[in-house]
Formats: sequence, C-alpha cells, structure tokens
Amino acid sequence: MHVLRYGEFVTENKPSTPPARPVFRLCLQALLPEDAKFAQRILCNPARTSCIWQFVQKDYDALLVDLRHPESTRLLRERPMGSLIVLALAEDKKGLPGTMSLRLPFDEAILLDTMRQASEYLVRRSPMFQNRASSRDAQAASGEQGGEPMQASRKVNSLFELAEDIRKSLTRDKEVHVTIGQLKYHLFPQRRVYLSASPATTLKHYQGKLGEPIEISGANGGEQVSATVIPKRLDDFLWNLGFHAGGGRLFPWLNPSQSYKISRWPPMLESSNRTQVFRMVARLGRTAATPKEIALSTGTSEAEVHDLLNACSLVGCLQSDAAGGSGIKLVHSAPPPSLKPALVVDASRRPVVTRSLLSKIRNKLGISA
Amino acid sequence: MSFGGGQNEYKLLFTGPMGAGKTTAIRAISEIEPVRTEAANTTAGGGGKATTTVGLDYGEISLGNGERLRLYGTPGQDRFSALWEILTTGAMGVVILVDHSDPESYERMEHFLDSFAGLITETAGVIGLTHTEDAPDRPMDPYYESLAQRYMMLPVMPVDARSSEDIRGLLDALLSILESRLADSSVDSLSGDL
Repeated sequence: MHVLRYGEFVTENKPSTPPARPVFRLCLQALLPEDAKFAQRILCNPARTSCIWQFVQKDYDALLVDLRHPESTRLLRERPMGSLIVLALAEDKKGLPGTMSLRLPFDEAILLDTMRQASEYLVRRSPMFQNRASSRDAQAASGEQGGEPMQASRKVNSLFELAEDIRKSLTRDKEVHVTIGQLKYHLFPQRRVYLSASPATTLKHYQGKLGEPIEISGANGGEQVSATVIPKRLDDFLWNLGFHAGGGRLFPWLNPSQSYKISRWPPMLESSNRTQVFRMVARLGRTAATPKEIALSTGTSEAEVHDLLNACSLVGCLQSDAAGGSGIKLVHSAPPPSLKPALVVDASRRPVVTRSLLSKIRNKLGISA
Repeated sequence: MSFGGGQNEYKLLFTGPMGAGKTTAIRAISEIEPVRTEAANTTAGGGGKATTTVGLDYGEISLGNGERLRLYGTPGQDRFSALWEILTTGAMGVVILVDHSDPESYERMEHFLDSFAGLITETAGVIGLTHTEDAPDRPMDPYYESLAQRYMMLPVMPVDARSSEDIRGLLDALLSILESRLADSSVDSLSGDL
C-alpha cells in the first residue's frame, strides 16, 4: 500500500483566505432526524441566509433543540458556554422566556426568519466578529484582501479564461456570478455550493469559441439569486469547468514536464469518457507522473490527460512535484495498525483476478473503455 | 445458502449502514430480482420467531460460460459482523455506501473502512455517498481525512443508489483500480498479492 509523503508535493489551487460573510456553527443534533434534514436543506442555501451556517456537533454557536428529542436534556446540559439556544416547539407548547423559539412542524419562511434573527444576535454579541467584519469592510472598500485587485465586473472570452479568473476568486473565497449567454451560475466558495437552473454538465457545450463574452461579477455586482434554486456541490461546477475549459490545453499554472499525482480521488462520476478518466485517475493515485507518462501508461492522448489535470487542479486535488522532474518514488509501507480488528482475507481463498475477468465484467456492465 | 467461492464464481460486496442504499444499488445492476435472506433468530426472547430478516441481499450478473459475478449486500448491523467475515472470503472488492445526509456519516464510513480494511487493502474499495442532494454543502473533507489517516486512497463519489448508471460508475472506478494494480505488477493475474 502506498504511503503518500504530502510534504514533497505542492497542492494546487488551495484556498487560504478567511471567509467574507459571517460564519456561525449550528448544531442540529437535538432535532428529530427528519426535522434536522429539513432545517439543513433550507439553511444551507446561501441565497436565503444572511450568514453561513456550518452544521457541526460540538463547539457550536447555536443549538436548535426539540425537547421531545431523547438526548435534548443531555445536549442542553453539555452545550458550549454562551451558545444560543433556539427551541423548536410543538404547537401546544409555550416558549420559554429569554429564548428564541419556532414552531414545529417547520415552516420555511419562519425558520429562515428566526435563524436570521439568531445570526443577527450572534453578530451583535460578538465584538471579535464585529472587528473582523469591520476589517473586511475596510479591505473591501479599499480594493482587495491582498494580491492583485479584481474588478467588480469583468468579461472574458472563453472557458479557459473563466477558469483562470475563478481560480483567483477561489483563493479569495469570493462569491462569483457568471453569465454565459442564457446560463447563469452563482458560486459560493465559502459554502462549497453553486446555484443555477442549469447543470454544470452544460458547460461542455461552451468549449471553444463563444458567440459573446462571459460576464463575471463579484458579490455586489451579481443579480438577485432566486431563493427557490436548490444548491449543488461547487466541485461539480469546478470539475466540469476544468474538464472542458482547456480543450486539450494545460492550464497556464500547470507544467507539461512536471510530475503530478492526486491527493484524493476527485468527487466525480459524470464524464463523456468516464472509464478512460478513471484509469488515468487510478494511475495518478498510485504514482506521480508527467502528462506524457500518464498518457503512455493508460493508452490515452496527452490532450485527455491535460483535461483531467486541469479538472483535478480546479477542484484542488492535484499535487505537483515541487522540485520538478519525474521519477518520484512513493514509499511503500504496511498500513498502520487498525484500532479494531479488520476482516482478514484467508490467503487460500483469495480470488484470482485477471485482465480477462475484468474485461468480461466491463463488457457485461456496458462500461468498456 | 452458499456464499460462493467456486472457480467460476466471483464476489463483490456492497456494505454500509442500514438505509444507505445497498439493496437499491444491487437492484440497479443485478440481472435477477435481488433476494433478501433470513437467518435463525438467536436474539433472547425473540417473540417465538424461528427466523429473522438480517437484511442480507443477493443479486448476480452472468459473465458467460457459466461464470457469475455474485453481488452481496451485507447486513448493516454490527451484530451480524460474523456474516461479514464469511462474505469477505473470496471477494474481489467492496463498495461502501453511506448516507451523506446522516449527521454521523463520517463516523459510519470510518467504521466500515476499519471493518473491511483487510479486504480493501488486498483488493479494491470504493465509497458511494447517497442522499448528497439533502446536504449539498456538507463537507467531504472529513471523508478524505479519514482515508488519509488510514493510508487509503479510495474514490468517494456522490451517487443515486437507484441509478444503474451511477452504480456502474462506482464499479467502473473499482475495476480501474484493479486494472491499475495489474498494470503495476506486470502480470496477467492477481491473487495472493492482490
């Protein structure tokens, strides 16, 4: 089994700056499962909330609690000092003085309004946060948070240029609103989600030249996002943009003579040539290699490898050999001892896996390369 | 019931906590209607029932010439872990399904990673996250951190367990990992050192 020495590699495209909107930690553990799912689905939509709610189970700022939950008493007793309690009450129950409350079953509008009040209370209560917010406001007024300033609204002429622009926005954790003809994408890097009526896979139709420029605007330049659009994972957008932006050309921040590997599998399933992509990813997961070496070992073209590396770079799972050159040796080692006894395969009863068998399974499932 | 292991029979496991979508995933690709099995009820005071459903699912795909790929969905409950061990013998890989919207999904994935670590190390494993649309902003980083802590690099992919295309996508990744291992070893087959 491979042991990855992360220190030898540089992770591409790693976000580093603090978020621009208030971020609060909310615990939903004291709600019944269906209510918790509902609340999370509503409160995770950045177009509907004034702050970012992170859903956690400890060290939280606010606890949404249903007293019917069997663990509610314990959770209330063990809550972090100073955390805000929001009671979710059945219709026949009265609220408690000094607490915020809302009725069950949850109503979307009331839930959003109550949690907006909760976030405003948390902002007012936290001088530290107000200082941070003031500091960010000052930075926003004067331009940027370091690095070269970005225009509030700008135009680019290709997905390739869009990818470069979005990469810069990602490193700043900035909201970005993109208009490509009739398509509109609203990206919220802090939440790792995007909003759009169009799936990210539509981007593949915009590879190459476009009839009109792509418009990009920042947090204040974008139009109001419809609150009814369901958030989707930002990685889906970034993966599709990265995969289709280059058209076989490597992004300018990547180098064709450098060796690359992945720090994790990219979270993707959709691709027009999925099996080839998986083979390349499996290769990149085992040893570092240059684009040419990957193409040779997987029977793909260098252009296809470039598209994959672009996509991995944009979703942040690509690592490069910082020193340059190829032939990096990864250390092989036994896995660490597991805390629990793992199921051990009896050596005499291990299956014999052959290329022919794998090929048969692929053919049967219709997933041949 | 036989759990396979014959010369013309190959096994693939689907595991994960209850409600993660194992039965649905097997149904999505099996050529036969998945079979749900029952086992002797050994629970004390079991209400007089001789058997109880343990949630073991079975499906299969024929590969021609009498060869079959057997698809087993393990029971999700820990108390049937003895059955996991039997199922693991001779398996060529494991698909771990986890409900991403479950507040304890990270811990649940870790539990199944640890339980099937031997099989994953010696064959291949993939992780499918179901119900991602219910928690689109729930971070995926903790899954990757847990894998890194265990020196494992497995695909973690959002899937709809009802979608044959998504499940075939998971298997595509699993087969790619096995092929990559074959390519590295420069031999035509893998067994003991798989």
